[in-house]
Amino acid sequence: MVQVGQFALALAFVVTAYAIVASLVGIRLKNDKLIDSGKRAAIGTFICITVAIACLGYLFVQSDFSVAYVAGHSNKALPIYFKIASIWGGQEGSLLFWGWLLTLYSALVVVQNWKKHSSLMPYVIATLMGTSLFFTAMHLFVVNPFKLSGVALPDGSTNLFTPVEGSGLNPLLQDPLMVIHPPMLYLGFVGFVVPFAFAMAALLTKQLGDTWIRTTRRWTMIAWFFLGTGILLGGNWAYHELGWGGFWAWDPVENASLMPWLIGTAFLHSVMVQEKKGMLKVWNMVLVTLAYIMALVGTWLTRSGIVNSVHAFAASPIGGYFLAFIIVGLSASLYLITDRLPYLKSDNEMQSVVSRESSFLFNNLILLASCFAVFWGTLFPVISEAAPKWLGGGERVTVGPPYFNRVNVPIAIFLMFLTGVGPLLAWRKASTNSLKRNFLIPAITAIALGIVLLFYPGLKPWPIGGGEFYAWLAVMMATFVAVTIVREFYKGARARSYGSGENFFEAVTNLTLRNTRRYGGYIIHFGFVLLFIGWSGQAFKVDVPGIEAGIGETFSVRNYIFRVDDLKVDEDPNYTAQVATVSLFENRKKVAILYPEQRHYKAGEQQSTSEVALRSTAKEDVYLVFQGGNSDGSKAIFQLYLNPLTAWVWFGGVVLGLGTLIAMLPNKKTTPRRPAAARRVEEGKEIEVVS
Amino acid sequence: MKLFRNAFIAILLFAALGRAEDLERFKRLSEDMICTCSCQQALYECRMPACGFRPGMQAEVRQMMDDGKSDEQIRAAFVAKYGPTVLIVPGTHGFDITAWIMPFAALIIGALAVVFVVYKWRTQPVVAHGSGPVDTTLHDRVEEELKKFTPED
Repeated sequence: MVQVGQFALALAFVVTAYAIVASLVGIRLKNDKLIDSGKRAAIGTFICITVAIACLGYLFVQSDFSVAYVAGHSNKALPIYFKIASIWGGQEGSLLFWGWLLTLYSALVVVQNWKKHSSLMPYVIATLMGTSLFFTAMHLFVVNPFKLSGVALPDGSTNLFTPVEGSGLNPLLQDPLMVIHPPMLYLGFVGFVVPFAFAMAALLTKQLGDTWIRTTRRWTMIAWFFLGTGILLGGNWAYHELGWGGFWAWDPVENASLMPWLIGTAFLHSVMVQEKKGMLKVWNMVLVTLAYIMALVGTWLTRSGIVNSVHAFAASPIGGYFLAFIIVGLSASLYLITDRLPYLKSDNEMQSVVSRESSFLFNNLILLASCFAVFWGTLFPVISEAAPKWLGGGERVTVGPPYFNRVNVPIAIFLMFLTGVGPLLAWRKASTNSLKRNFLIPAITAIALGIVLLFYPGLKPWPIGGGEFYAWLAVMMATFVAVTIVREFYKGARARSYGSGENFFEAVTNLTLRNTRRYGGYIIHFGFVLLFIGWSGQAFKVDVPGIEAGIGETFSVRNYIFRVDDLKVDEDPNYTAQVATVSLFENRKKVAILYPEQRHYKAGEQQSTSEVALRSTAKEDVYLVFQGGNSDGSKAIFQLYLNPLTAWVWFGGVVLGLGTLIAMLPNKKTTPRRPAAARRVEEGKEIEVVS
Repeated sequence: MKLFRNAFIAILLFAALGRAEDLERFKRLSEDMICTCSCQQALYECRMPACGFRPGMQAEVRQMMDDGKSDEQIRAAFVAKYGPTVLIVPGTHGFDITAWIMPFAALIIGALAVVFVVYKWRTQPVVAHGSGPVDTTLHDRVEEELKKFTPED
């Protein structure tokens, strides 16, 4: 199976190179047969890499430790679903998975668009396969997942041997979410290659009309959806697996996924300006290129070992290759954009600063500023070390979560404000009357809620710039946006209901389905409102460390009482778990039984992990971590967090996903029902007066 | 008797307040420093199971607090012992200040650029609507097609 996998990789390399050459030479020679063979080669690449990844999966399932990657990331007792998830549990396999998804996307793009965009497709294939060739070269020559187990000898040769047992998968990755989170994230990362390929094809063919932008927008939404889902699933995994009470730590790997997502968000907004007004054509090209480059930069940051991260892979030789590929890709695309500037002129001019166009420009500015802040903070340890001493540099510094919070939170709050304002401003120029009509009630509601919150028990006026102050401001902004969205749905549904005779809920549904982009967009914004409220709650987190309690003993925090009912040891083939059984009482009423665990994994370095016990409600999460026994073993040690509003984050994520799916649907074409008045006349309930 | 009771309660309250202040200070200081166990989290927040660094580092903070050292002295002692990477955020002097300035500088420069673009768009009418330079092949073809449809006199 190892040989089959190796052969499939080698064949993929040749076929990918052929796809590029056949597509480009075919265009040059106007040879349709050659172009067709390039298309088939792109599908062939997908088949080859699929065979390679299937071989790797088989080796994991068989626990074939003669392969170094399998021995390093699996063990015999590992459940089969984790064995399969081990494919992306380390450097070599995750890159192969990246490459496989890229070929899968490429095959889908070829099948879906070959007839629709026949003149663009050879260039699209050449660009997609260009990226694929780089990855296939990495699999084959630099980080080969089929390398055999062995020990390097001083004379340079390798003494091959098959270990009896594998080192096991990192215990932190042995979680059901880890089976789904990385594929989602990679689907997002890789998805940005498709819009980039279409953008490059449009530039090369000078076909810079609506076609490429329509196709690109759809693919960007797909990538954006998967990346967003992946980020949220990752946050959820961190929340219940790492045991530190939070879901976002500004780790370089998290930042690497956030950056292309922010740029994708900017593009999805600015593309509307190009579709409606024929403006921002150059800007959109730059954004598509940046999203692609950032997806590669993220991979480079976390694979090269250049930054420290809890889930970064060890330093490896791929960093240099990635950097070179990024520089070449960026230079080539910027050259192409510059060269085609005369074809990218705006069709219209901006007429007012108070208009939807300019609000989208500011939205883009804020999103890019946020992306830059994340990028700068993530790379700053390296930059400060590389900076000359006379500039005060030369030493590595740490850039931890407080930095990112201080820089990004005010930016995010302003972005929330624009989220409410932008969609309701008129194109070209918004009048003072329309501003009053659209924003007076939402603004009054938000301010009123802000005042009420100041008097809420437990809250207080805070120092300006503190976490609680920002939380208060964020809730006000979120309220402002929520009211604008609800009013939009209400006004639209009321008008539709009046004209068609539909009841209110029918009207809301049909309104949404007949204009999926607009109302899907509102639902996405509403998802963000919920996420914002959830984030705001984190400023009021309660953290009680080092609680010691034995069986039958109780401890209380606020209106909660915890009673330790049992402490036991569970044996699993893969780990030994110390499990506590804790009854939770709220206002003296038993509401849940919690089972926090600490696991000690048997394979490899025998690491320990915490399995958090959670009781989640809309108001707050009770988050209990079992940290093991005290020094004489008579009592258990717990860490307790009360996390307000965390459930809103996950619910907001679901709403956001739902909104994205709706926005991707084609508009429903329905025959409008006859007006209510007309139907009443028909049904004989009213007599038509003929004058 | 009542006086003694009130004085006792006052002492207890002061003690409790002092302890709360100490806890608050300990939290603030250990949130300013990073745990060196590679968890990339603040010393206060590190929950790495069986972390070999957190207990010792936290004990050092408490010891220095008990010794009457100021916040600055404690931070300086940690930097001297563990290096500048022990502080969780960059400082505000030397090259470190660029960490804080650059994002906002980029935002301001970007905002100025947006305002400039909007102003330019408003004051300069767009030269041509739609296309860029005409592709010559396409242009010839269009001319040819047009000839076919030109009504003859």
